[in-house]
Parts: sequence; structure tokens; C-alpha cells
Amino acid sequence: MAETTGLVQQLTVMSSGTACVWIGPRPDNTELLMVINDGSAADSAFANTLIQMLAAASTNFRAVIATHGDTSAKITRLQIDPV
Amino acid sequence: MASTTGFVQRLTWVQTGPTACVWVGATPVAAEAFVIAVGSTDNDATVTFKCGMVSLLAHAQVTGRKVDVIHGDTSAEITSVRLPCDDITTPLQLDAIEVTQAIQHPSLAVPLLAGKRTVVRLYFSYYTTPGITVQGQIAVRSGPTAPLFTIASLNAVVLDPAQAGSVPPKRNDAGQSLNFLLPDTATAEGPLIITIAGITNTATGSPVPLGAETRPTVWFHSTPPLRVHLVGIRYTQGTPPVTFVPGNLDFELLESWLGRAYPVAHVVSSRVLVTATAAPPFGCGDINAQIAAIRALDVAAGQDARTHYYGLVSDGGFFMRGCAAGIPSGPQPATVASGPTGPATWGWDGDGSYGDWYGGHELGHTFGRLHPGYCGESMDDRANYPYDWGLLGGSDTSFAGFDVGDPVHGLAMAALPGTVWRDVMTYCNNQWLSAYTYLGVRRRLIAEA
Repeated sequence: MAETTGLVQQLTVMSSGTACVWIGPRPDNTELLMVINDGSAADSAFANTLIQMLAAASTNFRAVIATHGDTSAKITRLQIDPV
Repeated sequence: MASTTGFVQRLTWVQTGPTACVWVGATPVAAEAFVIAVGSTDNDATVTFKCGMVSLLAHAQVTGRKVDVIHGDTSAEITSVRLPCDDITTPLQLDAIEVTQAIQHPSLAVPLLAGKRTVVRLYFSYYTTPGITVQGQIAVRSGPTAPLFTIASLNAVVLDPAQAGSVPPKRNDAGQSLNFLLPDTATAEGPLIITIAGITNTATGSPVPLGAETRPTVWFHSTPPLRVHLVGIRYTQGTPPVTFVPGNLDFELLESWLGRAYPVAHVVSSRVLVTATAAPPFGCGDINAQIAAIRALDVAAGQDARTHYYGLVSDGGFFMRGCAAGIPSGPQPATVASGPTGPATWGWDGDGSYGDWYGGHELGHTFGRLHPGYCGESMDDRANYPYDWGLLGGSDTSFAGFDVGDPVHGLAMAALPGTVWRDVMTYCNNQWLSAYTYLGVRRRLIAEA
């Protein structure tokens, strides 16, 4: 698994439980990750809550740690650490 | 059932389950771990409820709000979450914390810039008669293992119970908030958490218990400097001939104002005096043409091409109305501008030179900023400017300006109410940068860098 750390520089919600999110230390240094779900109730719940967390982090300029596969942009875990 | 109260220190949301792990406590190293797990047998309502708790915890974490998590006596599974009501038995309540550098919203929506002079304002209510006077200390930290810096308030504040529960009167007066100036080391790029270390009754010297504490975390963003070359214009007129040049104060206050009001941490400024090639009374178009030629030579000789050139013309001999050579729609630091300067107050500016905000207006054009169109200026941006009358904010709970002051020039900190002060791109009195202009100039500065 890989981790991407930084501010949520941009967040685009595409549809319910689907979003593109750019995470990185600066607007010109980001990685594009995805929030997607398989349509199941559990995965949809995970994705929708994930988007809310990303939005809260973005609007409050709070850094996140997003975990995803080494060759996948799908976020499988999100962490907001203490300062 | 048991209840644990504290701040959300860490929150992890994992796809498996899905499951949330949340650490709640007073500090990162004194926190208890809890869990919210969505089970495969949970019905839709339960899933929605559990996800709602996770969202609430996330919002509490990023806004620094205290939470109560309810769980079993011997279980770490959270069964409900609440944001505690204010403890009304504590007379002193924290109403809000604002961290401002020039313009800010109570939600702290305006990005803070690394290295820029920063003031933390605490707004309090005191609900018991008679009122008290307090001072205090905050503690700031840039990471969970970083050292805590304790900072004393710059002032004491008189808390009038008649004003309890009302933030706007305190926000609109720098003397009615407890103000803290952050040291440069605390405004480095990255996060900073702000906690209240203590509030003291100035009459007794005793600590005063505080209710409704929040612990906001802010982020300081890197930002390019403003590079500006100030060209003082020398001209001679009259019989007998008298020579006029801008004074040192005109240059200094323009540099100071740009550093305080513009979205920059540093103003990289240089100055030169040149003789006008046009005969007075010349116009700003004449001066702009001369300055553009000077700039072209300077850049060819090695001057940083991102440098904006601005001409200052003393109003001692005549008043030269200012203008920019253009309003570029994209990065174009070669666009020059010029304007008048002198000691007039225009009815509201008593610092000794009006060339500061006037220069801020003309330089704003060189960053692509248009006239909002509310005080006699052209209505080029009327459709986009967000607030009527060119005001900085739409209400007392919206955006408000704050001048962090300049001790070198004897300029005190000042609150600039958003319902009184107007955007610098208008022709109105009481000019400052609105968030709209502040963020627009910042975007252009980044594009030029």
C-alpha cells in the first residue's frame, strides 16, 4: 500500500460516492486520487463519509494521509493526524 | 454507559467494515482510542447513523471543537457522539478565535500566508455582573511532538456583561478582543494548533476558568513576495521654479501598506528618483510611458522580470490623477502604473500619506483587478463583486479587515469592520483589500511567479 500526505488542494464530487481529490503539500505538487465504490451499501457508506471528511479537511486547511494501492488511485483509508 | 470528553486528536476511516478509529483526549499523547464499526448486518438506518457520527467527529476534529463520546463501560465502541453545550456555570466563555493577517472570515476561510504578520484575536463573553478585565496567554505548536510556544496577550480587555453573547462589537474594535502577535517562528509553512494557556483577572492576578474552549488548527501557506520598484517622479514648475519630489514617508508608507494589506509576507522593494520627461502638468499616461521605458531597460540589464513598476508623483505642484497602463487578463508584470501622493487625509486616512492606498489601487490594476463600480468608478466588475457598495463583507459576521499595524511608523493595530470599509479597487473612502481582491491578487502573484 502507498500513502499520500498533504492538504486537500482540490476536490471534485462527481456523483454519489464518487470524487476526484488532489492531495499534496502545494497546489502545484499534488497527486490525483479517487473516491469510488462498488455500489454495495457498505462501500457506498465508506465513500460518502470519505468525501465528507475530505471536504472538512479541505475547507479547514487540514492535512490528510490517504492510503491507496501501489498501482491504484482508489483511497481505501483516510487519516487525519493531530497537530 | 460511560462518557469520554476531549478533543478528537486522530481519526482514521478504513474501507474494511467500514470502520473508524478515533482518539479522543486533551492532548495527542493523552488520548483514548474508540471505534465505530459498520457491520454487515447493520440496516440502512444504522449505517447512516454510524456514518453520521464519523462525519461529526471529523468536523469536530478539523474545527477544534470538544466532543463527548458515549461508549460502554467496558467497551471502546462509540454508541453516540455529542458536541457539549457551553458550560453556563462558567461565567467566562470563549465566543470565537479569529486568526487574521489582513482580511478574514469567522470560519477562517481566508488562507493564512507563511511569514506574514499574524494576529490571533480571542472574543470572550462574561455573564456575571460586575464585569472583569482579563489578559491571557495562548500556546501554539506546529506538530504533536513540536515544542509549545507560549505567547502573552498584547492587551487586556474589559468584559462588559451587557455585551455577553455578541461577537460583532468586539470584532469591530481591536481593543475589545484579546490580541496575540504570533512570532515569525510560528508562521512557518505548515500547520499550527492554537490553545489557550490561561486567562487572568488583571485586578486579582487570579486565573479565570474558561468555558467553551476551542482549539483551532490553521495552516500557513507559502506565497511569493511582491516585487515592486517605486519610481519617484521629480518635476519643477512655477515662478520662481520649485522642484517637487515624493517624500521618504510616501515611499515608506506605501511599502508598509502593501506589506500589511496585500496577500504577501514580504515586499521586495527598491526605489529611484527620476526627472519627468514630460512638462508639468503631465498626465499618468505620460509617466507610465516613461516608467515602462525605464523598466524595459532595467529588465534587459538584469532586473527580475516579475517586478512591478509604480510611479509616485508628489501633489505639491499639481494633482496628477493615477492610472495603470492596462489591466492585464493574465500574468503581465510589465504593466506599469503611477499615481499621486501627499499628506491629505481624504477625510479618513491620517497616517501622513495617501499614496499608500492609492498605490495599492493602481498596482491592483496591474494584477488584473477591475473597478467594482460603487463610488463613481467604472462598473467593470459590478456583476462579480460579492458585496453591495463595495463593502468588505455582507454583515458583521462575514469578512472583516484587520490592519496588523506597523510599529516602525507608529501605526496601531486596527479592526476594519466589513460593513464600513470598502474594497481598494473602488473609489470609496476607507479602503482595504476585500477577500475577493486579496485572493485575486494572490492567484495572479502565484501565476506570475
